[in-house]
Amino acid sequence: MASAGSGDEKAAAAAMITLISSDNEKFEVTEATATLSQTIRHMIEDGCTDGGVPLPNVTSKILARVIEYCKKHATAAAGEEGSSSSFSDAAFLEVDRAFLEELEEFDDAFLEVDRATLFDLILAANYLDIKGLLNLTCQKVADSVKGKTPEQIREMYNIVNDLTPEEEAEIRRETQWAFE
Amino acid sequence: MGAAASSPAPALLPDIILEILLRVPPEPIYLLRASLVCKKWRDLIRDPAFLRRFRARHGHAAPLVGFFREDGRFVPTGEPASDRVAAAHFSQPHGGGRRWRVFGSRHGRVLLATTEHERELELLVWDPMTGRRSYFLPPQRAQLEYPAAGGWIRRPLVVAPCVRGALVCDHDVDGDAGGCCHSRPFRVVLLFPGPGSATMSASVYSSQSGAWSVTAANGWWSSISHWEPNTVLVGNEIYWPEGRVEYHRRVSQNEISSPRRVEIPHHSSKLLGYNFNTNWLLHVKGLAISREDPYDCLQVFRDEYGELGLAAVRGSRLHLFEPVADDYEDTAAWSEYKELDLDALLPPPPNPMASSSAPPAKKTPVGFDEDGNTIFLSTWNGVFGLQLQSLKVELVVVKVKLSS
Repeated sequence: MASAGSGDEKAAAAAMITLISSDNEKFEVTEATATLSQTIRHMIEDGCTDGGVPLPNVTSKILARVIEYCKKHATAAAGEEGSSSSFSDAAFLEVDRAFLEELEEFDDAFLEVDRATLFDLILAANYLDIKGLLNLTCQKVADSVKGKTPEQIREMYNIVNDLTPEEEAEIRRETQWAFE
Repeated sequence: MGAAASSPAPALLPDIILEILLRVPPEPIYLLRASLVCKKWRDLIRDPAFLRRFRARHGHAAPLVGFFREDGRFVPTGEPASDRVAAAHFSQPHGGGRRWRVFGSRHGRVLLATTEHERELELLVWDPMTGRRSYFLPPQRAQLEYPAAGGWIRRPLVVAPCVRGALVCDHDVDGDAGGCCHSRPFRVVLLFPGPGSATMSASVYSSQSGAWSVTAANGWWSSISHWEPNTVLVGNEIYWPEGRVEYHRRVSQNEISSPRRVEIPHHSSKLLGYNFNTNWLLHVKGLAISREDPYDCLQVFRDEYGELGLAAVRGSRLHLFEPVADDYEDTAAWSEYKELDLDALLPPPPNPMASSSAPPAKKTPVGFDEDGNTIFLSTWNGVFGLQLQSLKVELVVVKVKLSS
């Protein structure tokens, strides 16, 4: 986009949004990238984005990651739209599959973060209302229950067990198929 | 929440906990463990509204937790092994000091029948998860009464392996919305030889009325000497394949020999079906099989359009067939629409040096999951699920062979 001519540059500049993290760092993103967030989309629609969008709940470290995600997914969405009109069906399917595969690889790599960062990404995705990112990150956490005992899950989520021994025994009694 | 969002594990908002719990894998062990984490999680999971959303998110498909062998022993699936259900709980004896065998299962419930020749046939629908059992007797017509000391005794007309049965949930055939099957009414359809063993009869038991339907009779009874638990439900019709082409000899109580011979019962196989709406028995023309080049195994399945299909394995090739109807809408023939190389789809044997000269490992269909549209194949290193649309392969049991 930066290589576009002066006329395009003006149009592109008009569609740029400034996001401001909790630690006051500014990020310039395209409207297409920013509007993956429903929260920001509504702000744009309401015309409240002049002078930047303050995001007091998101640190610069996390916001940079969120923007990375949105950029990739906004590009993929645009690429798909463009391809549908200019390729034959077979070629379109091929391109479509390549996009999906690339996106999947990106998502897998994106999720290679420590647990604290993953939780921060969930909080940010929830606050910014980015459905794809919320789904991706929640799924990652949900899948991590595999092979874990209730104790290990508690440790992972920093949860104190407030079930009484009687309540635990009741659950185990009702579900004997799991404990033998 | 504030800006200090980098604590080791920030407390998650209830909304987010809900989003995470909704995405937990569908196997029941995971929600169970999550409900043991704390009160908040337990209460969320116990909420019927949550369970409805959870099932909807997982496409209402019942997850696979394992396979029953014919003798009732249970082989749990899932990785890692610590996440499997307790096999012992699923394999426990079924009461009355009698021997039971599995007739089939659907949506978490299992249909079993007693196997002793000399005693009255008894049926059982068992829910291993809840432990609920419903015992009932087959229809009168499937038994004969003999005079005995002190009155009459009833004995099975035929030995249990000659009777075919299938279990369905009421809503499966009524087209009602899905949901938890465990506590819902069920029906059992039984096929058995009619008077003189010359005709075939069918009767349906309803758990709601506790009674058997009027018997439908149709066609000739062909001798069946093999258990066939793998039924497939297609709309209102349930189908059994007509005999698998593999025969085994029982060498001892617990052991079954390797296949004694491969035999084609007829020049063509045949499918038996039953229509719940019309109460009709269906004899469907089977696949034409040559004596020279028979298939190793056949499996009925439901294709991605919800239509009846036949899968046949020969060596390493899986052939998928769809029925071709004649002018009367009866099946006139089967047309092959897909052929797959299983060696290319399944992981290779561990020792490539040895495998180059050895014949390819045998692959045997051991079941079909209607909800997941997945055919299960047993081979040298375990059981694989092959999703028939995506052709994705998933290892479901490691190093356990369900076939001989």
